[in-house]
Amino acid sequence: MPESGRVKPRALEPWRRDLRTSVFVITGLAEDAIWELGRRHVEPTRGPVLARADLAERAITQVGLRLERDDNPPRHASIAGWPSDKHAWRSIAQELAAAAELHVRPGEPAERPGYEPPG
Amino acid sequence: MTNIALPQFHPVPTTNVDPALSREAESVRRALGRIAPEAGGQVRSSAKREALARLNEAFVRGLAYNRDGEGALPVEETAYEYARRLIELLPIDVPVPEIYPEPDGDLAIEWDLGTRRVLSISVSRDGTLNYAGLFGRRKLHGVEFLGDRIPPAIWIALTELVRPER
Repeated sequence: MPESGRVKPRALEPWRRDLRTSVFVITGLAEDAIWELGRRHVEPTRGPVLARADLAERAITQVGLRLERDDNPPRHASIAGWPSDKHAWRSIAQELAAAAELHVRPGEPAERPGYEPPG
Repeated sequence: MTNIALPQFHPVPTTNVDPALSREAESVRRALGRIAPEAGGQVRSSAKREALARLNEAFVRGLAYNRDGEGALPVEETAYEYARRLIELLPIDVPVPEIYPEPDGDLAIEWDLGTRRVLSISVSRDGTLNYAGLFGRRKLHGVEFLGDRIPPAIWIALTELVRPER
């Protein structure tokens, strides 16, 4: 989790195998429901979600990318249209991170079910 | 307006390996053994020593195959060597960077000095440097190769990074 209080660009970078960034559309959801998306769809495969980055769709289109919603699982979408060169997509990820807002999950990690301290 | 959210995670701990048996351990021993003594009595700044310590730690973390469960490639010794050379060449007034292994086996050397004041340099096993920086409204990015000195384009990016805010 970032110590700076800012979103790390690498949290927004695309996966190398498909050049897409997996996201969830959270428009209209209450805080609890947003964290529930992470608990239900992300934590089973990728471990505890400690924080999230909120980003407006406008910020994505402004850097030349697009949001593709597939609803599999519900509300799932991908940020697509990344360039193939690493330096180019990293530069875009830096722009997106500057536009994103960091939200830390409430509560101590140790209190959450399934939490195992790193190391 | 549509809002989206992305999960952020704990780093995945590296797998425990038997240091006496693993290929990775041998690679660490070879690579780290070369930097243990201060080369040629050269005096390093504390920032540079700290950066090298972070590099060592990132290299060891990056040795495991599939460390992220997503097929991450191990960091090769040559990537470590190039990263070490780059750190040795950094100007003395550059702050200590964050260093981490990337899924493609590169080592990332990264500075986050504030909103829109970031620089990332990915060091590959063949000395390729993919760099990207955001300095206010100015964006710099490209590919360079590490030789005996810091490539001019990356020097410019470092200058932008440490330039006092206007």
